[in-house]
Order: sequence, then structure tokens, then C-alpha cells
Amino acid sequence: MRPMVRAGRQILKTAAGILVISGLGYYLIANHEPYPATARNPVFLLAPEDRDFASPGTGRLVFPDDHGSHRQSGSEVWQLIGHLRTIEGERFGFEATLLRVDLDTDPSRRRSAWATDQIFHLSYTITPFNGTDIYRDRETSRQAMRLAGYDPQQRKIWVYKRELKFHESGPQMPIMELMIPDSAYPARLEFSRAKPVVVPSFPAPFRYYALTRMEARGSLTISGKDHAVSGAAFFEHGWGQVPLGGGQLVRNRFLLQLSNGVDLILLQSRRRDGTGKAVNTGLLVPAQGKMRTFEPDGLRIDPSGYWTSGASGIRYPLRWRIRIPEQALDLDLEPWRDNQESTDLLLAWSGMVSVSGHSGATPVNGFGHVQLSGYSPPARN
Amino acid sequence: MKRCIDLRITRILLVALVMTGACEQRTVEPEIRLPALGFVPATVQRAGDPQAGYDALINRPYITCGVPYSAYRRSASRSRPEELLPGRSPQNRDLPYLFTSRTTEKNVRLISSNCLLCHAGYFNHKLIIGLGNEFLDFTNDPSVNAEQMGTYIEDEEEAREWKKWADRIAIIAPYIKTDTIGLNPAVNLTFALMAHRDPETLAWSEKALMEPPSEKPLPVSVPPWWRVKKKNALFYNTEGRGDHARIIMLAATLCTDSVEEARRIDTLAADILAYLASLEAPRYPFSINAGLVEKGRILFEQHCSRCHGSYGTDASYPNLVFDYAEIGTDPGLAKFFTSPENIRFVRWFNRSFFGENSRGEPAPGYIAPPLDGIWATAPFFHNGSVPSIEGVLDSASRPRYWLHPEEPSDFNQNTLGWNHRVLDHGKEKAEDKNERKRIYDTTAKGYSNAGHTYGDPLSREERSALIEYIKTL
Repeated sequence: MRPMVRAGRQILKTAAGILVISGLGYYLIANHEPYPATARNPVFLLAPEDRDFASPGTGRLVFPDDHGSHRQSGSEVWQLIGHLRTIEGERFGFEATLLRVDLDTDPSRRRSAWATDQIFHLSYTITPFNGTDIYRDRETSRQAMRLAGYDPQQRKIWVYKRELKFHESGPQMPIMELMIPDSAYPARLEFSRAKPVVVPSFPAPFRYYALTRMEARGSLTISGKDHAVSGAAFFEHGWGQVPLGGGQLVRNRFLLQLSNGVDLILLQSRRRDGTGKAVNTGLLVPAQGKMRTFEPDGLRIDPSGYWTSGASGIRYPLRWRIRIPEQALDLDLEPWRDNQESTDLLLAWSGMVSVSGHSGATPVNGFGHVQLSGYSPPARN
Repeated sequence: MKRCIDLRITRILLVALVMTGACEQRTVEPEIRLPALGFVPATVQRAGDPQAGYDALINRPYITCGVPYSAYRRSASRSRPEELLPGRSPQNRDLPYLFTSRTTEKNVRLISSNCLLCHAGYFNHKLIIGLGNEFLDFTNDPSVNAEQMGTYIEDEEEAREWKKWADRIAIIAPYIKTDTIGLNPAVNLTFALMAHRDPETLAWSEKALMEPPSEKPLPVSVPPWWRVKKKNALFYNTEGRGDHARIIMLAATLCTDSVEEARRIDTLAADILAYLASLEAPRYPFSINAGLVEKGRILFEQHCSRCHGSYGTDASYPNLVFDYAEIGTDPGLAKFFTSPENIRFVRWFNRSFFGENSRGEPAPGYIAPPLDGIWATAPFFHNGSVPSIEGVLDSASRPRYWLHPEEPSDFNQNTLGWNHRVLDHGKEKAEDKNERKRIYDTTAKGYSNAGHTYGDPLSREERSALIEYIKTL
């Protein structure tokens, strides 16, 4: 027995921590149209409040097993973000998000082979650095008839023919593979670890860990043209009562990889109605050494430029200045292009950014991925 | 000694007069009387029903703001059996012991912390109501998670309730952040809430109405409730005098926004106090060396009873408060309460609804507590600076730096306290944030483990015998 009160409850207790995964849970049932701000977030229909889930626990994580699915703990999110280059210097950003949504159903009560209690969703985006096109694709299916699921023997999550596979760790060996063979934009990427796993300790009703820097290599096919690519990637995985996007909060989330080897995961939350104060949290993984977390007053995250979406009417802060005085870091973020708004899951701006700035007196640059969620379209008259 | 105390009282009264004189338009502030050291006189307490008090404590929503139930459900996994309490009402039945449910007039179900958050703890894998929880972690900014709860809320009425609660948390957050796990910021929390409430109406103000307390709370260990029945005044410095039931209602000040609401909650207070006064210390659950107990009893009566009372068939408790300079334990808390800079909080209390039948009268010292069940209440002294009874009885063995354990089950039957790692460094050399918050640094201001050296002259054998006797208390 652990007499200390469960971590999830500490939220109510004035104990605190960081919810670095917030904003990662861009759940949803397919919804091509931006949902009006006043609408009930449909994810709440999928995650009924009276459902009990086992605690995701606080024990030591074991890999590669914990890369896989945690069926007993509610819903689950895996996310890969990367920055890839061809040998010719062409640059691509990519994002692959896998969701496992636990439904409040009992398939054993139904005779149908289609009966299920889990939905898997894989969304996939390629963003060329140059040009205006963004290539998005996705699949959603149920864990029935082997349409989607997780196979613990093969350590494989799949949605139709699309797969994310995990492997035993070894020197220079890939620890995971992403295969998207049947898309209009096929991809096959493998990832090897460049830094150890970081497991932030915080009071939250879900588990989370990240590989903040992996080496990526493989191939992308866009408009019939094959590209051999290599680069760097992030991987994140969370399970349990993962915060579902929406609710009362606007969330600005930043994943940054800097040229000096530093990686940052930062989150700024504020209320949609403008009351209260913005809360900044985050962690830093140095090139070598231990991760460190920041207190809310240890970070400054300020918008420096805006863009209004023609599709949703939402005004997003797309340019940012981030300052971490303790690390003498002063960074500017510039989007690869303004229009990276996504309506795949929740309505959000989710896209690639370039990073420039200083670490002390030393210039640094890098790439990043920013997710801006919870913004409301302007009210209609 | 008496002259010294008189001078202190004069100085405080002088400051009070100066402050009163500076505000010509304001009501003349009542005099703050600092009590004499020595015997603490008894006050007749309101009669109450302990059984009704238990029901009120675990079922009635005396803390009236909180998190919407729907958000609680989405952010918490199911309660474990050992967290459930007998006697809970249907809407509280499935909640862990430290939460209570309330439904507002607009039909929003809220979940609030109750008194057991701080006043129930585990010992030997068993939840004990009344045992101070020495494992709460107040080292982080609580407003971060209070704000994050908004992600689980869709309904507008629920959002309104969440914002009310989160706004309060955001305002008090700077005053309740401790630097060491297990230490309780209740004193600073109460003072911060006073700073934002009108003492006459109890109306809440986003803007502070008087200067809030320091943002560095002094370390306080949570005393066990079963001492309530013996003590003539509440709290370490005996500042809670008069109607104890009214004083314990201070726990509801986070959300109580009017005198009318306070009077409603006050109808529960006498019963709750009667329940607290009915609590007995638990019995020592491990073996006791009976051969040493009698020797220990004789030593106890020779060296401890004068201040801490006697136990067994002819039990008595003297209710004595001693000058901090005489005891020698860290003076920070006693000085804090009685300093001219902080006397405004005592004045607020005495002017408020809470001071109608009770008085804030902090003594410039510490009361020698009853020692019933003392073996279960590590760490020791008012600031939790000594991790075992052995250390209390032998000041040379007290660690300067020690690591707060992660589990209350890590109990040492020989030393009567927690197993702990002694360190050769303070927080500045901690390996990481998690270790930093677990390091108890007795060289920090307010954290001293000095004083109470009364056990030092005893031999090792005598201390062992005394420890065996203490197990029987």
C-alpha cells in the first residue's frame, strides 16, 4: 500500500507540478469543421465522467514494454515530431500522433465482431520548409476485426496498414519505426535514441515520458517523388487521465531542439476568458546531464506577432519570445509559415517553427514544434 | 524573566497604539493582550455530540468552494479501499477520506478538501484520524494545478465554480509554498486569507485589505488531534484561547464569504470539537520490552512529568507554556506570532466573527504538549526538525541535515521515529529538485533542532528505558 495520497488527487490539494503533456492530447473523433467555441468538446462524449480507471502508477518504467499500450489506464497518446533533411538540403517537418481512446462500452455484451471498447487514430503531417503545401493524412479505426490495435508480442500499434513498432534498445539500433505505406504520402522512418528517456515527476493522473532527441532516418514520398531523409525527432508518450484538449484553457505548447544540444518542453496555459494568470511550466534536457524543471516564475513566454486564420477567424500568436533567465536563454520563434492551422482533431494551430537566439553570449538556433489549442473564433453577430 | 516579558508586551501595545493613532478615521483597535507564561487557564467549552461531530467532519461541506465533480472524476482514478471511511453519506461514499462533496444551489456538485487532508495520516499501513499528515508536499506552486483543472471543465456553471476556487488558490499560493516536504503552511495560509477578508463582514477581497504575511512560511509540524482534550489553549503558542470550536472554524476561511455563512458552519463546530476531544491516541502496534517499562516510567516522572504530565491511572496534564528562551527550541514561530509586525493578524482575529467568543493570545513561548501517542507523531518539535524520539532525548544525535522519508511506514522501533538518511550537506548540494525538497536543513531560519536538552544527562540505558515507557503512552 502507498499511504501517500494518490498523485492524481494532489491536484486538488494545493500540491503541484507540471503537466507537460497538456496539449498533446488532441483527441478526437473525426471533425473536419472547426467546432464552435460554445460547443461541447466531443471528446467528453467519449470519456464519460463516471468511468473508473486504474491509476497509471508511479513505478519505474521498463522499456521497450512501456512504449507499448497501457490498456487499463484510460486513454493514451504517442507523438513523434521531427525535422528531416534530404542530402540535397531540402527540409521537412513531420508530426505523427497516435491516439488510443478508451470507450465506455463493454464489447462482451455484444455479439457483433465489430464490437469494441477502443478506438485508434493516427494522424500524420509532412510540412516542407519551402512552398505552401502541407501534407496531412489520417486513419481511424476500432480494435475489432484486427482493424487497429496493439500487439504486445510484436510491440506494434497499428491502424489498418499503418504501424508504429518498438524494439529493444541497442547501440545504433533503431528503437522505433513508423510505417505509413498506404498514404498518398507514404513514409518509412526509423528512430534511434540520442538521449536517455526523461520521466518528469509531477502530481498528475497520468504517466508521461519523453525522448527529447532521437536520430531519425528513412524515406518520404511526396507527389510521387521519393526523398531519403535524416534528422532529429522528439517522442512523447502519455497514458492515464490525459488532459483532453479544450475545456476552459488556452494552451501554448513548445517542443524545441537547440543547436547546443539543449531540448525544451514548455507549456503556457491561460484561461479562455482572459481571467486569471497565465501559468508557464516546463523542463529542459541539457546536451548531457540531468533534466531540470522550471518554476512558473522561472520562464517568460511572450507572443511577439499574430496571424488570423482565414478559415476559422481565430487570431493566433505565432511569433514568440522565450526567456529562461536561469539558463541565460533568450529565444525567438518564427513559424515556417503562418497557416499551419489544423482541424484534424481539435481546432488548433500545430506546426513547425525555427528557433534563433542566444544562450548567454553564444548564438543558438534550432527547430521546434508549437501547438496552440483552445482558441476561440470571434463571436458571430 | 518577568521584566523581559513585560517589556515585550509594552512594546507590542505601543506599536498597536501607534498604528491606531495613525488611522484617525478607523475604529480604535482593541488591546492585544499577551498572556503570561506558565499555566494556561481553562475555558468552559460548548457542549457537543462526538458522533454528530464525526458525521459533520466527514460528510458536511464546511469548505464550500472546490473543484466540480466532473473534473475531479476526469482527473482522478478510483479510490483505494484503504482511503475510504465508514459512516460517509451516499454522495461521499466513494470519495477518499480527505475529500467531501457539496452540491450548490445551481446544482453543481463540488469536491473540496476537508480537515483530514492535514489531520489524518498513516502509521503502520493504517489510516489514523487525528494523526498529522507529515507527508504532504507544499513545495510547488499550487496555482499551477488549480489552473490546469480547467482543462477538464466544459459546463459554464461548473466553470464559474472552478474559477472562484482557482482564483482563491492563485491569491494564497505565494504564501503557502514551503521548501521542504512534510512541513505545513497552515499558519501562513490563515494569515493570507485574513489579509483578503474584511474582519467584520468576512467578505472576500481580491486585493489585500492589510499587509499579507511573508512569502516564506515558517516550518510547522501538524500536531495530533488527540491532544485537544487535554489542552486549555490550541496551537503551539497557545494562541487559540476561549471557544475552541470557533477557533477550529478558521479552517473554513478559504471559502466562507459572509458572517451568515460562518454562523451556519458554526452550528457544526461544537460537535466537531467534541469529536476531536473524544479521540484517543492509538496503541503502540509493535512489541514493548516490558522489563524496561517500569524503569522508564520512573525516569519519565523524574525528568518529563513536570512539564508533560503523567499518564496511566493518575493521569494529569499541567498545561504549561514556557518561554522559548528557556526551552531553547527554535524561537521563530513564537517570535513570529508575538512580533509587532504580525500582531495585525491577532487583531484581525479578535475583531472578527471568530473572535466573538475566543481570543488570539499567543504566548512568547511554547506549550509542553501532552505526550499521548507521541511515538506515532514524528518528526518532533513544533518545526518537525528532529526525526526521532531518540534525537529528542539526546541532542548530540540530532542530524543537522536529513532526508525526509518518502513513506510513513519507514518507522524505526528502536529510535521511535523515521528511518532517515543523514546528509553532510544542505539543499544547495542536492542532486535534483526531488532531493532538494526532501532535505531538512536545521541551519535554516526557523528550522533549528536546538533546545529541549533535558534528556542529555541520561545514560544510553536510561534513554532506552524511557523509550520503552514512551511506547506505552
